[in-house]
Amino acid sequence: MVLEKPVLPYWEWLSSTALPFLVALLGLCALGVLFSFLVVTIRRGPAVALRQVFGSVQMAVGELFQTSPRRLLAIARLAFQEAIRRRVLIVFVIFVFALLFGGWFLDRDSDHPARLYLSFVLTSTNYLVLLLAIFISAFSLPNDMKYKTIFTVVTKPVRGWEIIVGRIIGFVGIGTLLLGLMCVFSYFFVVRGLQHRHTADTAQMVSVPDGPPGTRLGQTSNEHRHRHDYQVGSNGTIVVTPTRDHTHAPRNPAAVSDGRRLDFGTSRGALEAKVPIRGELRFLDAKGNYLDASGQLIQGTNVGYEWDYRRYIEGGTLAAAIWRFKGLKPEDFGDTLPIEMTLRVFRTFKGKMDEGIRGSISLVKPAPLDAEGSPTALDGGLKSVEKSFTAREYEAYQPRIPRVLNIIDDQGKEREVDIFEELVDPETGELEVWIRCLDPAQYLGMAPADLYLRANNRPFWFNFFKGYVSIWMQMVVVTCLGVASSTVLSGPVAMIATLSALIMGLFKQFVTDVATGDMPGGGPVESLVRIIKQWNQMAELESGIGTWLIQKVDAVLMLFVQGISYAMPNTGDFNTSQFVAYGFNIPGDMVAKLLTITLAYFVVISTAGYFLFKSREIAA
Amino acid sequence: MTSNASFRRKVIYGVIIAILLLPLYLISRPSVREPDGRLTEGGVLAQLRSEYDLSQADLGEIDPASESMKLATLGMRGIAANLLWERATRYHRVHDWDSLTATLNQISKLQPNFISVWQFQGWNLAYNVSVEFDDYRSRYHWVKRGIDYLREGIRYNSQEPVLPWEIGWTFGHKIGKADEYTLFRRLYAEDNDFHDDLSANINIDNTLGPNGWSEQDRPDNWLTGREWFLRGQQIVDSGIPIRGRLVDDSVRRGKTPLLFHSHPPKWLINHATIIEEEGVLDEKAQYAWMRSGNEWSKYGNKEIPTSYGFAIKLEDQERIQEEVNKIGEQIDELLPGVREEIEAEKRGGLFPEELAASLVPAEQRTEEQRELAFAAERKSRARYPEIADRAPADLKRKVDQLVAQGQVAQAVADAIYNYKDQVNYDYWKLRCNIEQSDTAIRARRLIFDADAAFRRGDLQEMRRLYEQSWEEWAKIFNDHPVMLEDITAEELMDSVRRYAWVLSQEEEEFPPPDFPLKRLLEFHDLEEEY
Repeated sequence: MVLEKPVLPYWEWLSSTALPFLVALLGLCALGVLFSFLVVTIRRGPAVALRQVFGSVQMAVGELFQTSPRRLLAIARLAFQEAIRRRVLIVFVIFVFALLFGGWFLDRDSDHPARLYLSFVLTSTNYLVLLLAIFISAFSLPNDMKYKTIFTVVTKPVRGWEIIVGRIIGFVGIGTLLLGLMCVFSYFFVVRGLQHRHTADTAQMVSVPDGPPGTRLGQTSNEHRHRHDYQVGSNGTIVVTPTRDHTHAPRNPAAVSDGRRLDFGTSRGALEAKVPIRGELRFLDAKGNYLDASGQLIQGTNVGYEWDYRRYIEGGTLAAAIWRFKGLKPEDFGDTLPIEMTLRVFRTFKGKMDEGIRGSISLVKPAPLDAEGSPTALDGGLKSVEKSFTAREYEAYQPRIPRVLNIIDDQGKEREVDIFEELVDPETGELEVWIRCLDPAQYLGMAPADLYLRANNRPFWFNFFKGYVSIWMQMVVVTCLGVASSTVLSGPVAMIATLSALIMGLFKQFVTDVATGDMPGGGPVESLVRIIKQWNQMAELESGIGTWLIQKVDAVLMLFVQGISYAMPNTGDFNTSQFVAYGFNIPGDMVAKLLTITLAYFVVISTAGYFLFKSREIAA
Repeated sequence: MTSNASFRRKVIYGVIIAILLLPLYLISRPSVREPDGRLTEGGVLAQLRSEYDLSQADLGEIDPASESMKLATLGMRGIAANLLWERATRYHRVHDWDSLTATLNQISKLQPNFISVWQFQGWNLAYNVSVEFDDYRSRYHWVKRGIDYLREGIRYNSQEPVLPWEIGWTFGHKIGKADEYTLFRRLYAEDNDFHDDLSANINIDNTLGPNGWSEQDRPDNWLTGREWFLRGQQIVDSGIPIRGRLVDDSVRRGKTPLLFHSHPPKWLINHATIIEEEGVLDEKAQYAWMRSGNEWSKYGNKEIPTSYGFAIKLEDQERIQEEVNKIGEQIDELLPGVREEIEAEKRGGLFPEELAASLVPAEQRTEEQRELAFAAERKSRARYPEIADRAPADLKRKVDQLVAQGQVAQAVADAIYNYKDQVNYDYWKLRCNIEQSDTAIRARRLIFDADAAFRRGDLQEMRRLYEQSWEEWAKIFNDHPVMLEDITAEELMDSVRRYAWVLSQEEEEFPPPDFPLKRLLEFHDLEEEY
């Protein structure tokens, strides 16, 4: 799985973001107060403005404390019932239809069918639920105001907070109900869609040339457009080769000796939630240096790919990729160190086409780090004997690393040790894994997420549920936005505003890059000119007054876009479907981070919604 | 009063709607099948669709998934396809192959009749994506995925000849010519599930052929490719043009009929070549070459449309050239000495070096002299109109008639010559004839065995076999000197070098005085190496 940004531990993330968030929030509040004060000052003079602004803030705080859970739930129930009346359950019917016909669109020949199935259900649920949230949240208040039904509520002792938050809770409630139903249906759709069995004709088995005596090879029947190879050992043990990320266990192994058809049970391993323990990656260059001439850490070789995610190490040299793991404890591991990796290969010449590129793996005692976090030496003086392997691309490979293995000490002598006694730093639990490429002039490529230690798997259903929780959090944010914008805007406009915010959130990086000028091609006006004149993004504009004017207008517009882009929720961050689809557990730190962001948006947007609603109420 | 007015208005609206429905009916009335099986013409739109082969049923299978996707985009499928294309490019860049194929499927479902998409992405999967994998089995798997993508395209575009052609090309060129072709060929031959899949489109029995690793005939990639070419050819022969890529409103660039039809026999030739390389050097190889020769001749007798505006048959060139010569003779008989007179005048205007070069005997000319002599010959040749200009008045009409006939025939002969040159027609015809001879099979067998002896380290046996093979090759080169320039001769040079090395190990001189392939050495300047 591609992980371009590491998932930070929750508290580390919170400590680095809480302060800027609070500063920005206070700044925003101050701006809001100042703006209100100025508007009222122009209309009624500074004394009245001061009184009104202060009064509003005081009232807001007062009403917040007067909020009654009973009234809040009553409003929520009304919103829930209103949504039911507006036939939102139709969305569920659409979803069921999508599942019924989803199979048409899914590639039957995919090497990773689970990824496709999971991506499909998570993405379709995501889009449907977000659209639903936009529709129900954006039209509710404007309709109540249009048909004056809002007066039946505001004339009762109901606080502004209760109207806003109650509606949000009601709409989130209906969304949660639908999402729950979708989650259950999707789960069974995925599980049923991937489930299959194979059989095998034992009479078709052939003996293995150059293999152990008595060993035979066979192939299973073709189901779901694939087969598995299986090997029967001389003692009757049957090993099934994984294909398309899964394997099967034989249900009647005795059939091999009886000459009957072998029956393999349902697929295993396609749906899992692996828990990776990730390390930090650094490189050594071909001469074995970890720092370059300017004292910077070596970054590995770029073999020419446009996408710079992976770096490569040259074979037959001292170049190496080194992962440094922290916090390893002996009690967390059994007899082996469960390393899993998937490396890429880059050949500079054809070599032997029918043989893979070989690499080696070794465990190394790490050198201590200096104050800046850089290693103080190449290694800590002890390393295990290198174990060679053939690199496999696009599939997870687990070299068997026993806990007790042979090491070479600083005297160059070989002896047997327990990893946790000699190689792992007892204080920090640090250990390094070194990968080298053995074939001269060939390269192995890697990114930080390509090698990890595996802890025990978590249940798949729980990971799947967490994936849906991420969608739920997006829905909460969108509902808050919809309700808040509908307090001052008409229904269709509120819907477009919310949809725009959502789309901007999906392309937040792009919008931010445009706003900050990192994206070539200039701002909105310059881009428009380029499109009309059919100039590419890199072409220089003709210098002159026109260009000067365009750039100045763009500078103002980009400031505006920049402000909006920072405020918009980064919807892409909420997307955890890749974790579920690739079979990785969604880290608890990530869920906690997303929940915190959701809560922050809920508080900020509800507050904004409250004040906007109050201004609307006063105007009405 | 008010209700009457309202009722009247409704009636008027109803009548207007009914009137407007009439032209709508005339325009969009669908073409339906009568009980007797006859298809009615339908409305204007249906007729236009039929005229331009645009109706979905004419193009290929109608897929509900595709249709629903088109509807779901609410008429913005062009935009959706563009976005998906951009996304596919991104997935390619980040090596996310699953998402890439999923996106390609979506694009093709949105625009199933956009042939270039199928062509480009089929090639992209089979050629560009496959090489991103290091394991040759994964590469083969992605070549198959490219082929499957193109096959999917045929489902939607059953009347499009280019797609079967692309599949035929991929089977031959990618499986049979890639760096790992020996591995690919074997993987394909043993891929029973794929053969079962393919049997829905082609007769897999027609693709069975010998190979170098099994006694049993197995599906062969070249023969499978040929079956797909034949399928495309059938579509073209039914009257559907080979649609090329539209460059602008008037120009299409794509496969010419000449090349399009040349591939079925070319793939047979490649099959014959590869099985010999794999060691099938018996009557099976002879049969393969004979079949290739027959098919090549059949191609030569096929009517090929040309860009000159007339159709030709490649085999007609000699016959037409003879006709031209006969017309020339008739003119010469009517106007004796005129041609010589004109040519003598023209020779007088040649540059001295051109004249000098033309006087040197052909076999003694240097490269430069050859070029000068060729220019001299071209400049001094008497043209028909020049001869006709000197005809006396009483013969003028008859000579003009003959000249006109001769010019037309010469134009056709020249066109055929040009076209033959493009596909190297005469060479392949000759090669097929030579390769099916006992001498050629024997010569290749001896070389194959000698190379095998070299790999075993049995140098004496290798020397004996090589020496026997030189005799056989000498016969071939003596009978067909043109083969000295052939790629086969170049490949033979590797064996000759190996033989020279063995002689040097035994401190013997190379080439030996009675070496039968001295002409080959001279031709390839190998003598200078030793």
